[in-house]
Amino acid sequence: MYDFTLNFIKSLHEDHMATLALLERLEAFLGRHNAANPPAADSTELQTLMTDLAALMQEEISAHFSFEEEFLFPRFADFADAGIPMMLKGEHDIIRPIAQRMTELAKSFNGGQLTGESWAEFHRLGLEIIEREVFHVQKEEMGFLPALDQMLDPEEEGELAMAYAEKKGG
Amino acid sequence: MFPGTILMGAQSRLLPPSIPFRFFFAAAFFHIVFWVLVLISADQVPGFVGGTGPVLAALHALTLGVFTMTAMGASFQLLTVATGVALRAIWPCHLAWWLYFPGVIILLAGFATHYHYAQALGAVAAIGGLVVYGIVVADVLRRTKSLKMAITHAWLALIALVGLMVLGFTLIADFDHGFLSDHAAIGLAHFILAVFGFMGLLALGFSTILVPMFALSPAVPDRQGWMALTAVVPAIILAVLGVILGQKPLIYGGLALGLIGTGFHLWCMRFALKKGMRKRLGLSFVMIKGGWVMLPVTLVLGTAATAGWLGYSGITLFGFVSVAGWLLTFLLGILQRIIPFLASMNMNRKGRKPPTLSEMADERTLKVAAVCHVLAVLSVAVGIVQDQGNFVLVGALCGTLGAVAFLWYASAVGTTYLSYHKGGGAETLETTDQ
Repeated sequence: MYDFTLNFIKSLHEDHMATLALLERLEAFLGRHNAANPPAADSTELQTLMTDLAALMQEEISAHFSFEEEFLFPRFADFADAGIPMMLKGEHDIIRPIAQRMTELAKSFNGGQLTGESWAEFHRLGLEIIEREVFHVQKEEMGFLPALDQMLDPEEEGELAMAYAEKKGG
Repeated sequence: MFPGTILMGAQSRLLPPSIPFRFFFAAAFFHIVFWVLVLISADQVPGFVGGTGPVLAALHALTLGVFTMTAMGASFQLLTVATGVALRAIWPCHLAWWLYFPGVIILLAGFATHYHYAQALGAVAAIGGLVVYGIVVADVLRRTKSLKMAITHAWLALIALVGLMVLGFTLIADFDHGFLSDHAAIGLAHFILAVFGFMGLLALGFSTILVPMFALSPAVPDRQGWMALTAVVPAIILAVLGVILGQKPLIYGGLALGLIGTGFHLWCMRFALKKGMRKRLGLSFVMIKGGWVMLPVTLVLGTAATAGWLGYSGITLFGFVSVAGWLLTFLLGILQRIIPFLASMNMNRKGRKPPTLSEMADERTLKVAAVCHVLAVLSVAVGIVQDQGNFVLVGALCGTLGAVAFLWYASAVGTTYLSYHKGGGAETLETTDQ
């Protein structure tokens, strides 16, 4: 990990920290309730976790991923190596449908529709997204973001920060 | 410079996977060889202080077969990716392999059977492989402008490698010609240079890159990292000189400095784990932490053995805990992390969904390997202290089982990798999107 200088990159880094913290909560929860052992539908912990998860998944997909794909990957490809953004975009494409389905399931659980079958599906997807997202964040934190922080012109920061804020706000 | 340049541009600097993986699979294979040799020489392990035979072969199956093989695979792949300096050519890696792998097998056979010509031939081939390896790594290090701390560790490790090769060949020549006045002292100096000099410095240096990368933490603090190295290098020199000159105060000084250096290193590792964004690091880090705990234990045992507090078995216990308790535990943790990690980095074909790290192989085999490893180390250590071959036998059985489980896991990762590239065994993105 690297001490970022550009503010919008610090924001992306904070997103990653929030994502990993929530995924660690999810991992612990899934560890206590295996695929064949769903939690009680009215459990406060389940409700809170699903609310947080749905919010994070939507933000991760709608704002974070799309900002990177629209504004950062093309710049990175121009300045450095087209292979890295292509690889990261490929990972977004794998994570995105999993996150969407998990968001649907999380919302349905909070709507009282938790069944053995849906929990088993959620459990399987949860374990998959934890692994894929952690590996993805690892690549972004350890290579992509530090490189961007060094290669981007600070004069671009205002424009990119605004675009990121719009994505998050939208 | 951030440690994670390892992932920046990594795809373009990944070697053909067959290069690092042949070394890692060979390490897993020699892990089994090590425990099998301990198994068949269980009665000879307590009290072993040197001399040819299966115990010496077992020791070298571990040091040359497992440790150095892992170091070679990791150096070729991780150093180039981490430093951003590409190898000038791939063929020296092949040459190093084709000299080193058969060389180690012949050397082990020579040790186990007391056959001097096999020892000499194996040593020449293995040293040839190590010289090629050293030249390749030195060339990368020479062209690297970043990661100063890890690079300095690697340079010093290469110097230790030269020293241990010279002493190692001298010892083999002495088995036949008997010209050394104190073979045991030179043997111990060779051991210290190999385990603490070459492998120890590489382990410490690579840890400053790999641990922050896996824990997603900032780079380890420069000051404490350099203080660790500043203490460890004179520690190794003092210990080697003390052993060769028969001067216990020098050995104690080396052990004390080693403990101080270890303290700084562990402080850096704790910093990385504490600051890391990833807290749940899994079984691999249980092993790695176990290795870290065993490092100061090893040095304390070394002090006790030097003082004579552990009796006749002291030096054997120190040697065993150094290689099996500290380094093997640490490296098994690292290997189980980097084998699927590197395989995954090589599985990103467009339009094909790569498996997750846990889908590559059944991780329960790693749990079996870990439990067996701990039982094996404990049982053999008790066997050495009690001078009981039966404990060593039971430990070696556990160790063999664990080593087989570990190779099973590594093979499963390899099978998944091959299956992915042959087009089977992984979903397409289109399937996922449904």
